[in-house]
Amino acid sequence: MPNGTTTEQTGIQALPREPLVLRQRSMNWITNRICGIVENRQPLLWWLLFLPCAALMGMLAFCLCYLVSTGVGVWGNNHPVGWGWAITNFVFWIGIGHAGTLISAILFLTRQKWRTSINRAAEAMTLFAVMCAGIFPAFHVGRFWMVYFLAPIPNANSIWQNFKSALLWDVFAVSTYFTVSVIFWYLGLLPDLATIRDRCRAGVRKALYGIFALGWRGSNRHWRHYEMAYLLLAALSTPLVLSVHTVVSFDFATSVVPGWHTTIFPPYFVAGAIFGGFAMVLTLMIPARAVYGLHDLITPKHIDNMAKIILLTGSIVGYAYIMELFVAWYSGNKYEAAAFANRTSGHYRYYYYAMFFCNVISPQVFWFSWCRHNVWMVMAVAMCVNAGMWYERFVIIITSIAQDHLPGAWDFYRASWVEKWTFAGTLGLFLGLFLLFLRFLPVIAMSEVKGVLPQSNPHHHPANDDRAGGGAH
Amino acid sequence: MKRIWHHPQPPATGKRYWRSLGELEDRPEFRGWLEREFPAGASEFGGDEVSRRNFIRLMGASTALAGLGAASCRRPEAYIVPFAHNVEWTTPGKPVLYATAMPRLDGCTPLVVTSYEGRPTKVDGNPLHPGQRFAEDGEEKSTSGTDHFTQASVLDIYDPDRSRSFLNEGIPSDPSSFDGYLEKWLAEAGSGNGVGFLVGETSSPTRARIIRDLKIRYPEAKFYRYEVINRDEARAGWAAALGSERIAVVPRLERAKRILSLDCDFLGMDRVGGNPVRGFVSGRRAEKLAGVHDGEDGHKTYEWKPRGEDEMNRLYAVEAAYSVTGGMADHRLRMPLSQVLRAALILARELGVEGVEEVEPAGLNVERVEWLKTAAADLRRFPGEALVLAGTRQPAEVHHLAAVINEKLGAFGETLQLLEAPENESIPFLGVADLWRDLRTGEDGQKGIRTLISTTPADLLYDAPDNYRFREALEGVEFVHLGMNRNLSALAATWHIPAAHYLEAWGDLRSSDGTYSVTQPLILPLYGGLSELDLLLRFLGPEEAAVASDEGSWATNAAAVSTEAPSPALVAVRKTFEELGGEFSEGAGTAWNYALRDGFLPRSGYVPLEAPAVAPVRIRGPLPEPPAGVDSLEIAFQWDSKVYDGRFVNNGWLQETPDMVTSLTWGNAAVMSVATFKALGLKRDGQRIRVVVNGRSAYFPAQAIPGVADNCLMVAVGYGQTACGEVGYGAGFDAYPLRTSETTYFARGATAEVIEEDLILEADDPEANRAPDRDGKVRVARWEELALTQEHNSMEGRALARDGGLDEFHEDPEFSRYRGMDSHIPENISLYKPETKDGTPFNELDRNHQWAMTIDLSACIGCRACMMACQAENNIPIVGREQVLIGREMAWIRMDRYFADSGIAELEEEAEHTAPEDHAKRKELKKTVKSAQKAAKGTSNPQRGVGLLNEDHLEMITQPLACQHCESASCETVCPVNATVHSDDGLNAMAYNRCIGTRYCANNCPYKARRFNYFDYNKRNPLSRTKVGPFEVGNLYAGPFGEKLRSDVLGLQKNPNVTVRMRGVMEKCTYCVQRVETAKIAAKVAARGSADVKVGVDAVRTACQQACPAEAIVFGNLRQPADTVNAMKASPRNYEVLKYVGNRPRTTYLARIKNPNREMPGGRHVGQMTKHMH
Repeated sequence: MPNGTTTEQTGIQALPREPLVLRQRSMNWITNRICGIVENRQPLLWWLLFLPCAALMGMLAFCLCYLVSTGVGVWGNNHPVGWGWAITNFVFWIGIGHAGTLISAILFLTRQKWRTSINRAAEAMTLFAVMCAGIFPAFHVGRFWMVYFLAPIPNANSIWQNFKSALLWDVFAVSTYFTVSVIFWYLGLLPDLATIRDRCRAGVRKALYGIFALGWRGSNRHWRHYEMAYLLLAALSTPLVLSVHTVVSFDFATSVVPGWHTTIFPPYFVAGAIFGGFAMVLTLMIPARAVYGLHDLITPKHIDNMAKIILLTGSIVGYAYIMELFVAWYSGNKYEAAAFANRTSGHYRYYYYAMFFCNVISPQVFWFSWCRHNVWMVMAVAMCVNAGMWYERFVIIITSIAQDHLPGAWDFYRASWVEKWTFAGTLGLFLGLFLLFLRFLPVIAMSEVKGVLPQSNPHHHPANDDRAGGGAH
Repeated sequence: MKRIWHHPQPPATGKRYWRSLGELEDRPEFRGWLEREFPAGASEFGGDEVSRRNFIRLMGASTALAGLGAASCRRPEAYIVPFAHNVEWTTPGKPVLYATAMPRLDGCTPLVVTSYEGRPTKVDGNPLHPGQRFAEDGEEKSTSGTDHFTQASVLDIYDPDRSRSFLNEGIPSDPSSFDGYLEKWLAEAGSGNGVGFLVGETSSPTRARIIRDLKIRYPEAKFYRYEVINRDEARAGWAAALGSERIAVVPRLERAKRILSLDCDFLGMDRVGGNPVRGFVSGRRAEKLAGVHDGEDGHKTYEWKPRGEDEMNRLYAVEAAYSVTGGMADHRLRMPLSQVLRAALILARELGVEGVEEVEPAGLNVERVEWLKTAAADLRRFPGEALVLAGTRQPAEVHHLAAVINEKLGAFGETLQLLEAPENESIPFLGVADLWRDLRTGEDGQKGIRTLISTTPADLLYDAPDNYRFREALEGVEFVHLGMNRNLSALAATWHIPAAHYLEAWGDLRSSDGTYSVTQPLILPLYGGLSELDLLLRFLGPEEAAVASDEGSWATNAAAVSTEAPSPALVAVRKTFEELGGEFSEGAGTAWNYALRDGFLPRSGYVPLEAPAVAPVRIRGPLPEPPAGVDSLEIAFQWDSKVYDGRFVNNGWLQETPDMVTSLTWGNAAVMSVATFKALGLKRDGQRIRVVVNGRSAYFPAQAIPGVADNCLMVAVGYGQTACGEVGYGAGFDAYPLRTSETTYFARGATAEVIEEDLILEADDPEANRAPDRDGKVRVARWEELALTQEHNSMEGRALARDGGLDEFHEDPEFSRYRGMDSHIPENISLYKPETKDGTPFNELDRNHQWAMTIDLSACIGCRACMMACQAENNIPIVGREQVLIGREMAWIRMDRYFADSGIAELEEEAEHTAPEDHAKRKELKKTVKSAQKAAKGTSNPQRGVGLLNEDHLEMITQPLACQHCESASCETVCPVNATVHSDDGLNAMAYNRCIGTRYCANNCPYKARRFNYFDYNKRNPLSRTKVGPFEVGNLYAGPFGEKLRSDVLGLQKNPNVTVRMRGVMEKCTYCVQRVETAKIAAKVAARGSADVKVGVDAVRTACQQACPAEAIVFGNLRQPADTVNAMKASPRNYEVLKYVGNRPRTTYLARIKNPNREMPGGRHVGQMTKHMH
């Protein structure tokens, strides 16, 4: 574990750093508090949330069965608009799935220790979001039962995939991202799973945790290997964070559709994804923090940091919006200009205004520190951003193809109830999986949090407090 | 006899083998399975009256002609064999072509019909027919073009809702009962007192003879002729002008340099005779081929030279609403139908016609008079080369005036052929008014007509003028009705007899110039119908019907090999044929065989009328006043481009092919100008109005279409039928109730009010003019979305369908290449080299064949025959109104139609040319343009995108758009599974089996030419509704629980060489790859061992090309230098749509060149829709 700070090493007196864990909680407290969530009965609220989620998951299953058995026609897509809510939702979920790995990998490599309290939940959220995302491209196809054609399996016809297609890159990018994210997350879970295993009484529970803890004993060897593997996986996932949404943006950027065909998409999409991802982390963690009493671990500083990232990425997104408009005008391309004129003043203009307000205007309140410290305010902005990012994808995808090159082919698109319930179903799936995660796995990476406690620092000398001592891993 | 197939018995002796374990056990379940596996007649289609076996019998059993060599002759019945052994002349998948003809208002359309294994699947024009041949630039040319009705007519044979059985008082009966009735009737008929025969329009000489015979047999019988859309006014006009009822008029538009149409949609719906579209287009070419030079490596260079203003024709159109003719016109004058007479009068005066001074044609504004005067002056400049055509709907006076004007212009014998029909074929008929009179009870308490035998295709109880109450009048009358559909008349008739389709029966027709064609059946009547000739012959008595047995050697011969007597109609047609001088002798090579093979009898046309004297015009009474305002509207009863007069209401292809102008499918609307739309207080298309006229009222959805004469409502008839099949039921609103005998084509003094709330009417409410719902109620919502296939009317400044004036073309023949984005962006330079590893460019992989297409917008009139031909050729399903509303129509060719207001262009140009110092004026002009555009956009969706300043200065352009087969196709690069790929010969191919349906290709197609199967349109009925629990959903939405196709019979129309697509796959235009491959295979076969496998010159014709009456579509091989497509591509007018995208489309367009008279009012800006676009 990295230790010490510059100020300490040089001996220069500086303002004390804001502690990452408040109230100088001991390691034991941390273990008890976090394992407690898994070991104790869930609060009533958990059930109140989980049951509707389960119902929505059922609805999702029904909608998908209906879709596959009847045809894509049950959705609202039509001839200019081949992609509707489905791909909007796909990009939306994939975007949300960005914060987790960003927090775990990039912040890990850049030694941002504050990440430790939130990375586990954020990574879990990533996985669930990618699962939700994966549903849409898989099911939006006309012949779901042929979807394996996308996999590069040698077949009797010797037909390979079209490696020029951005959609195929998508398949590879998303599946790679998901695989690496799962491994990364699972690896990080090992020490904590072992902790829970050790605290369990003998039984099925202990056996299961035991199996999944892969025999972790906390030996030095284990730790050495673990930390090296973690570092390597972090390095491996870091480019993936950037590549996945870049590749997703290629679906549009490599096309010839005015409004899609633009080079700004990769950075814009990545920034947007981080933006949306952090908003979703806040959306989930602020209530979890309140319900499970994790205020000392997920501190105002965490929220403040995330709010700042939202402000930054939101402004990047805002820049991209304005730059798109500028380029549409500056290019002198009639089709491009018309695409953006349609966005701002056409049939779907309210989606555009909603997007602009939610993504660009609302995060600007984070310039004020009291806004970053007021959880209600943060929550409100996060909700705005969640909605805004969905609108953004809708605006990009639908407005562009509904009215593209030839006015003779223009038509509008309206989502059907099946699409709406499918989307609601994935929301239920996402939240439901997250609730199960809260129920069965340590929501905060105990071992990592403990690592950043002052007590873990060999040079740490508690001034006049002996509560911090004791508690090994 | 039906054979029952048993599971073959195992041999009684020797070793026993079991063919399965089940057989060894021999349990009841196994026996059950066996029965299911080998049931008697298991391959029957089930449920329907047509079974596979039955079908084969029918198609094999066409009426006999003893095995003669000509391919056109029928297969003798004696040789019916199961297809396990191949039938002679039949190779599965190989079509057999037959020549026949389709009856039309102007005579007939000569046809060549494609038949696969006995199933007629596709009809096309007969290029051999003299009516399809003409001289162009000194060359003899011919065309196979047809219109969309002809193309769609083949579907009617297989319509499962067709009348399939005899009905007696509406109750299904059988033919033998009718025979009994007929026998009794014949015994009692006597001299025919109280007997009426009601027939439709036809040019059939045989029917004329039978009518003559009937007149002899029943001297006291009466003969009526009735069809909603008829030639009565034209006939009367010409009769008044030339003093003869027998005049046949054939316009020769290829000879006309100046044409003026008086409400005559000769390019579209008006059947004026001859081949008007091809003739018009032939004079429409803006350039001619000046030379062809052989260049290097066998390539040719083509030199095109623009024509002069006087070498190219010019079209003036006076009409009430946009028609395709008006869309093609160089100058168009919008005018209510009632005012066309006024226009004709002014024209006649200007041209110095005598006898028209009496009536003062005042009431037109100055600009309109000026328009007519300028046009007249232009016509006068071309004696013998000018032509004035009057529309079928115009009163006889207008036709008479047109005749006089044409004489004055020296058109007779030049641009207008006058012919005289034989005397004995011109039979005087009584009209529908006489029928009404005779059906009423007279003073003696007896009806004038007590038996009515009707063979007219019209539906007397549905479409007759509303003041004739035929339902009441027919009470107590024995009504024998022959019809294809179970319409109101059929259900009310004493006897309804199912009619045979024209492809199912023997008959004969004359084309407009009199050329005699024998119409031969390709299949025995699928549902046992009778033809008109068959039925009328039966009324002549048994001896006439049985004439077959002793009518000459051929019949005896036929009878010898036939199990049934030949059709009496055939005997009658043979007789006519001989009367007309058609020589007949035994054996092959006779005139009869040639007539059947070629589709016509040579030199059988009408006789030219020499030096006719034209009677002067007398205009009766005061001229009708123009509609004053929204309190006194004029309503015109339009024939419909989908259902005609209502007879095609159950044809799904027609219902789903958008109207030529309004782009409306599955219904009708009250179409009006944008100004009238606003004046009535309407906000959006589809709002309901209640129209009151002639003391009658009806509801219609309103639709604004720019360019309709103000204060006019154009309403298509033929909709809102309650007695029709599943396809037509519920489509549209009935306009017939508004029509009286006095106002057959238009009525004045109508009012319209906007309906503010949803109405629910009882089915018997006199105002209910729509088919009731299941609960028997008629719902009239205050608003309902119209099923439009194109919702945006403007090109949005995009220079897609490019146009120009002839003067501009002279200045710079290549002007069209530098329009729109192409005018100011540098060409795309690709870093990617489209070539293989050894350096062969991808577009040269096949050095023999590279396919390409050109579409000449100068020629394309927007008639949509191509859409229909494509539908028939490529097994394109219909999707139903509900799906069209969502925007899921499947047509592979879309007909984009744009309007533009040249007045706005004028203002914009003026603003641009105003000196920059004159800020105020410039600002003012720009403001006017903006407000005009905004005014149009703001009020409603209909005229979306057309900024309107002045509806008088409008232009319309159509652009057929299908897959462009781009060399660098953006669909191909994005398909993740390689389902759409490029073939070596330059086709953008679709592998349906590989497609998983991501729809990425469709999104990325800049032309939006791809079509996705959102549902199993080919397998499930898209029209019905299914109950799922408490909900009623469209059948398609019921998925696996939904109803399958209406009938397997529909499958019989399918082209066996084209895959029928399943749900979830993408499809699009294939350049008729099946035809391309057929030609390539033929070339390979012909090449034998040699390497010369290139297909011949112009050897492949796509379905759309073949059907195009204007020959606007040219398809060919870029590697065959002599192919026409290469010449077209070399035209200076050739341009690529969306060139800037860099897709390199193989389909290119030739800009439309107009020939405007710049002196006309508003003529300065004609042909400049795209001039200022960039």
